[in-house]
Amino acid sequence: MSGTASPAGPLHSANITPLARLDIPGGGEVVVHKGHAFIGHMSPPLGTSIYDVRDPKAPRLVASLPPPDGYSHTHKVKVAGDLMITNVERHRRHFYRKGERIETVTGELAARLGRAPGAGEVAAALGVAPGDLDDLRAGLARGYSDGGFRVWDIADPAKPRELAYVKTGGIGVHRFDMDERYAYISTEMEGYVGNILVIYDLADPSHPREVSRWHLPGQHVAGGETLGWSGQRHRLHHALRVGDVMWASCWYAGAYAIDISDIAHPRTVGSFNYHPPYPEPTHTFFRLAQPIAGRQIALVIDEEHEHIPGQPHAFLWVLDVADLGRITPISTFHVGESASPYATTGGRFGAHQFQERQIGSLVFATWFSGGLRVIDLADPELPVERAYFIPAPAPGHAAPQSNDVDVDERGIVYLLDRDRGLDILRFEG
Amino acid sequence: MCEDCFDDEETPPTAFSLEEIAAAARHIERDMAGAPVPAGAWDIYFGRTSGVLDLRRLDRIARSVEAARVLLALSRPGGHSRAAV
Repeated sequence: MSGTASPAGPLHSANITPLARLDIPGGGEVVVHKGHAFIGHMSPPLGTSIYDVRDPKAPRLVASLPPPDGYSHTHKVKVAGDLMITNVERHRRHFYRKGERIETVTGELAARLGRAPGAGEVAAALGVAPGDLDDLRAGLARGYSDGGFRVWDIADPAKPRELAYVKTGGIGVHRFDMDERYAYISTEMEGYVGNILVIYDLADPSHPREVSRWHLPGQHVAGGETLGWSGQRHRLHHALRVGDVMWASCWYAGAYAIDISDIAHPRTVGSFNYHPPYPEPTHTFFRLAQPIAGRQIALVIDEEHEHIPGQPHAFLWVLDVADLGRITPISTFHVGESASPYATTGGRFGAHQFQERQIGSLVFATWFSGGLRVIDLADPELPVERAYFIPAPAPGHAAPQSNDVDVDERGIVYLLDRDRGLDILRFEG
Repeated sequence: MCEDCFDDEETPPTAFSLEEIAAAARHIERDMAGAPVPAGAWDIYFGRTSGVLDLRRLDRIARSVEAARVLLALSRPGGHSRAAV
């Protein structure tokens, strides 16, 4: 895979100048560090790609790391110092989870119908095509035990060296955070339902050592806890460290602040949940290290789901977190369908993610078919859009699906589409 | 729906159009105590236009929409509130 670097085609943008577009398979996360862009791809056989972006108009592939096997994807990546971590998660995990329900669904249908159900009836009850049943059964028989994360030495980004492969549990690891000492991993673990936080010590990066866990009350079923929800609706999506607090987004359980001043004993110190009535799950929760307008600000962004008429599209929350015992919304920012020519042409339209570092009062947020939106929080009560960039859809796709974004120290923006393409941009605001 | 991000049961079903829900919700909101939200706030909530909503307006609209779904479900022959499932 090499990709091609050329400015994007017909544009819908304001205050953004495109520098290059890499025509590469889509990804889940992009992180820029020391002149290199690290990209986690959505689907095998691609895993992690590393591009030299010191010349942002001429990015150059320097390394490509495949997933450990064809049933895993490694679509998330983080870098700190000379270390890189990539996740290992079951590819198409929610699809294959349906295989675990074939027997139950078949039994329920048989009891209701008074006869053995046909394949079409079983498939319909599972929400899959009849032709998928064999794939589901094969996945069930195969099982999955490869989930976890890998630690790499990237002192030379062109020659990553695998230091460790830590197996965790269940479907493995989703998003995560790291610094040069600890990894803050969102993963399934034996005995828990849904992802929890597991913190690993990277003092010896070749032998990461678990130091603590945190979970939502109810997740630890092996410990006698009882779920108060169905399936994995309440689970950790991921947690980001700012100071001694982990800012944890917990899907339909909302947002949690977790004190880790004692790293061995994470402790919940605040939470904010708005489900219901707000329908979209909490994707990212992140406190800005520096105050804005004298206020301690945190951001929450929800992930757009399948849109239901009458629901708001996923949006951005601006929160006052001066008192973690009383997290208070200041404002919410919404992007209307009129702001993108692709809002209703296919794919998802709504919020997904923002850059996980503070850039003054600016938030660079991906909005799926709404592209990149640059939102200024100088007045936290009245966020204002300063710029936007909507990529052209990739060939064969009805709409762009801007998924992740990072901004480097030069102010160069890296916008990753989950289907195809990386746009490299300059913010002119 | 993205099968890589969502479980299959996470989407609540719906049986009503945006126009039906919006009309019913605005009718309900007019009868609520307190200052009504401006028309522009509804456009933001329903995704017609970009903008900012504070919590008071957001909550007032969201509660009206929830009530509207229940009302619409009950008003249909043999109807029940799927949204409340």
